[in-house]
Amino acid sequence: MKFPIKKINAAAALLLVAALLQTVAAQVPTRPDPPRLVNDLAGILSPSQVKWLEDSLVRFDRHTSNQVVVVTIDDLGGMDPAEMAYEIGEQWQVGTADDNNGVVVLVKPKKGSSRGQAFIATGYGLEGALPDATCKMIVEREMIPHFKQNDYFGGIRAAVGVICPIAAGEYSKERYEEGSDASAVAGLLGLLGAFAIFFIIVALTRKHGGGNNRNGNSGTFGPGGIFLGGLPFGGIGGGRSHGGSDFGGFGGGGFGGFGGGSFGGGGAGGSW
Amino acid sequence: MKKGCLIAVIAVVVVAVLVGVWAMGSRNSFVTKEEGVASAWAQVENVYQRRADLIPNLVETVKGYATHEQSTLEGVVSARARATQVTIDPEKIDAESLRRFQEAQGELGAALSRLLAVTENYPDLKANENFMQLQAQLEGTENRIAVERKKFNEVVRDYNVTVRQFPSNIVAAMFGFEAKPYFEADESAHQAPKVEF
Repeated sequence: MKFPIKKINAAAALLLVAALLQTVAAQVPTRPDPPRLVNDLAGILSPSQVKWLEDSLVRFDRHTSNQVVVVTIDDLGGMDPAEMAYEIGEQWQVGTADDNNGVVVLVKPKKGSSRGQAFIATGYGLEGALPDATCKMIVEREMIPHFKQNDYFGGIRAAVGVICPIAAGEYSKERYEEGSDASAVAGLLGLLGAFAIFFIIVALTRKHGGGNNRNGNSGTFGPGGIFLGGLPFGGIGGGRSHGGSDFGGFGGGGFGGFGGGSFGGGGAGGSW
Repeated sequence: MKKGCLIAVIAVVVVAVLVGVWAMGSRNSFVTKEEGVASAWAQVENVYQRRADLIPNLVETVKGYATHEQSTLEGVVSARARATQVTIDPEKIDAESLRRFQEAQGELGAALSRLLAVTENYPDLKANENFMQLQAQLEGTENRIAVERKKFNEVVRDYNVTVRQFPSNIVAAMFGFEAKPYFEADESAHQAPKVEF
């Protein structure tokens, strides 16, 4: 008679485990299908901002295989921001399986009396490039000042603009940590230049007339657009118009999909 | 009659061979899963060690500012010394050794949160660049501990299910594979150092 009881116990335990997993899974947003790198579940970004970020991050993924995912969410479902960011990274498998080079940028906007929360979670493979203290600094220095003024796009853009080059090894965390924003901009000039050239080519090949330029204030599809298009990596601030939207649809295909990366709890966050 | 006998013998031999092959395969999968548990455990000890490694630096930094907190600081140092002595051979994880491990680490966690609580009274310390970095690292380490404990539990769960489930439990009993213990949510996990800026 011992057998069946054991079996029943095991079955009960399994059911319990399944139920527990279910409750956790219910709170974590499901992996987007088709896969997207920018997931504005809280609805704090405009479609053109989402598109701009998505295009930048897809390009970054394609060039470096580092996957940076941006998720905004209204409700953490009682979870810690760190836990939520980690669960998203782990369940969506952000980053490649070989390098575990994923980053999750999680933003829970401030609404009503609840505090705003931001967290940058790093995959196992990027814990060295982006240690917790650096992530903390990015959150405190790039994101929260913008978020406090309700400029969610500006904060995310500035953070991504620092995360990407550091993750790609294009400039060191030490330089970021000690440096002012000016040195960050200097370090990114090369990247900016590359973007500028890219945008010029796109602009030249796509349309000559500059027909439906939604910015309106600049009649041609010229340097203004190029500058705004390159601006986000650098965060020089200023302009509130987002010229990036004008370049929609280039680049041949969207995001290829998540790669099986794993997370170990690295990263840091902050609240405001 | 003789032919029937032969068929029966062949059938028995075939079945015996099949069972043997299955048992070997099953045993091998136990070995693999046990390896998985051992490596998950190594990760757990890693992240706890990472926390222990941060402490001397933290204590030094706090000492420079919080001159009246000698007993709290000593509490952390001695809890660290005790915690680093408790290690587990991954081949021999049992409920008792895991309980002792968790207890020692839990005490260290509690001592740390007491220390971080008193640092609230020292604005100069809180503004110290080095201290802020240490705090970020400490928080990150607590997150990593939570993650690796969870991963360990998942691997153990998978292993335990096979140990207990019929029919692989027969093989487990035959070769002496026993169920392994889980990490339990403990008090110190709930009061992990939380730092608000």
